[in-house]
Amino acid sequence: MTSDRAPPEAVTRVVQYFPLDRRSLLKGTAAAGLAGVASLSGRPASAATSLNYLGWEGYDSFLAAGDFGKTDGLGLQKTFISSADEIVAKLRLGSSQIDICTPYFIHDGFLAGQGLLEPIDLAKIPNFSKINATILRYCEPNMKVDGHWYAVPMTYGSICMLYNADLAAAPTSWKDMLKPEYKGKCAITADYVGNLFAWARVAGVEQPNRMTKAELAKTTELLIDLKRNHLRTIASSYGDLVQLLTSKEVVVCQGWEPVSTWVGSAANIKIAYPEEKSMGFIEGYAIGKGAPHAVEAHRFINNALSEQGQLAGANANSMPVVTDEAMKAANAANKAMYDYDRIEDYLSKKTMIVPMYPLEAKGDLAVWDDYQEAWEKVIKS
Amino acid sequence: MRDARLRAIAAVMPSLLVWIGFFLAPLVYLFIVSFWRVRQYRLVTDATLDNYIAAGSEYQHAILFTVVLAGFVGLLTTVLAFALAYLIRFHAGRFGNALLLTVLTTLFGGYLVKIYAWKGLLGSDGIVNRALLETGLISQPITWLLYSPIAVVITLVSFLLPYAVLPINAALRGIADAPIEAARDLGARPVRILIDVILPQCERGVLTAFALAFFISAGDYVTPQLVGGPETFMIGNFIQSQYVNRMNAPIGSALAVVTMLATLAAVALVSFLYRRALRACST
Repeated sequence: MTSDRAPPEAVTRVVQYFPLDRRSLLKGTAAAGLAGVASLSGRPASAATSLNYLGWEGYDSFLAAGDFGKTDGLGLQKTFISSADEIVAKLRLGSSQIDICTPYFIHDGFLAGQGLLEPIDLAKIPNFSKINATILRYCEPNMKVDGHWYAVPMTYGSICMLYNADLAAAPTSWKDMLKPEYKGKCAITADYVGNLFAWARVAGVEQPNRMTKAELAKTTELLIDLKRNHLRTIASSYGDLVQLLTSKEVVVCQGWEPVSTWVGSAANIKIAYPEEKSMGFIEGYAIGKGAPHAVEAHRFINNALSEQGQLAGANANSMPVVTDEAMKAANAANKAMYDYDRIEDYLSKKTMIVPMYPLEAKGDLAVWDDYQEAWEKVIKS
Repeated sequence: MRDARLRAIAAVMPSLLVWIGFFLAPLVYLFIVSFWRVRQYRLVTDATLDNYIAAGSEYQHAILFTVVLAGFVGLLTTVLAFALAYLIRFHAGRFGNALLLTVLTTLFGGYLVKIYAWKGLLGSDGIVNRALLETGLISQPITWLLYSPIAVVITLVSFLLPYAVLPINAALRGIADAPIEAARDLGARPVRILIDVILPQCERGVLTAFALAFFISAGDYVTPQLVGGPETFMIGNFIQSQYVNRMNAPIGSALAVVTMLATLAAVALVSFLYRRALRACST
């Protein structure tokens, strides 16, 4: 007696199951085709509606909370990015292929201006009214263009400092990474926007996104010194940073609040906000211009702002929430990390919400490409 | 006659289409785009040499560093692969196939898995440092094992070794035993047999192995990003940055074309030197 699970003894056995002559193959293909057509016709029309999501891994966790869309046959086809600029490049290649994306918040106005984003229909997102008023006030200059919202905020955060409290004193300035005791034990991530912000502030620049070319050059020199003489490495991702902190290769670094919890008990990682401030951001969902599933995308975004959606993101990735009801319902650890009672302080004193860089040359101000070139200069040095 | 010619053309057409679609057309497109430019973050068709001037002036260090590092990886990988293939062909007897299978099995692990495995091994708190500390050979962890060019070389050699073993193994298997035994009977030492009999006959396998290891290393950007540290950025990192971050496909294409030409020149040079060296050493 042979078991059904027994593997084929030899290739010949397999050949006996599927004779590989042309006629059999054609018959098989035709049968498979018919079966496919039959199965498709028997399903509801919406059964295979898949929305293309393009964004950071983790930012998707708000959208489909509570198995949203499953009963309607809606799903997300996710493509994760490794750099915020990837979204700009992919929207340019075909905005209609992206149903939901998470552009970097300072890019929203620029992308809307280039006709790459759909205006958000707030009537289709009733949960928009639940967003905290302070959050809305701070993100409006970037997300609202000519009276239309082009992105819907779902979380926020900052490129702050992280340190191992068992091996390093709490840093109070970005300059603490230059201390001799941290030589070869500190790291930054490849987030050039956050790096240029931090070291521009160290250089005494008031508005890092409105630097003159001379200020940008000074900032670049500071970053080159940091890279050459102090850094252990430049982490390519937050996953990489988690590993560096876990293995204690790094004791002080530039990072992002949730990373402190992702390290878990492997190391005692704490958050620090330097006196020069951290670059703050309010992240949102946007819809690609001409996206075929814009209606469904609005539904997903509305779900992300429901209490369930917000808490799903907060619990899965230790990210902050943006609606008042979710702020009240968040767990104690999340509340302790983000102190929702002092959001105004967070967005104005600990961090700084910045506008988009100038896109066109105007006087001595550096334009976006200059910022990117400056970062490349740091890498090349 | 005409039917026969049409039939012959039809027979090669699928291969020709694959060659055009997957190899020729992308290369031609890459070459054309390298003369365009970006204005206001949009691609503009042009015929400028500015991108090549930038590649030659601003990125020459990155290109040179990449060629040197990839060349070192290629040489080291080829030498180790030759030693392994030699063992399999001439000394492992009936265990040869098992050894080869073991080498090839490591291919299944995947690229990123290997990189992260090496990170675990080479880190300050990694297995290598811990072993050295426990045996008393060092008193402080060696920090340059990871996040350095050495880490990139170790990781790439480990990843590329199975690929390099295959062509050398195939070439060594093509060498008959008779000339080797004849040389031995005539009193030739093992080194002389290697230089005069074996190496000339497996020239193509050795050079293929080198070219494979060299080209893959020269185009890599993930390994330097993950284990290279702040000082090890290869040209692939800048090409990726131009395409993804700066949305400047023309400079990215020009960099890719220059890198391709530089690597082709390097492989041609190594092939020439290999043949010259063999000729100079042969009796």
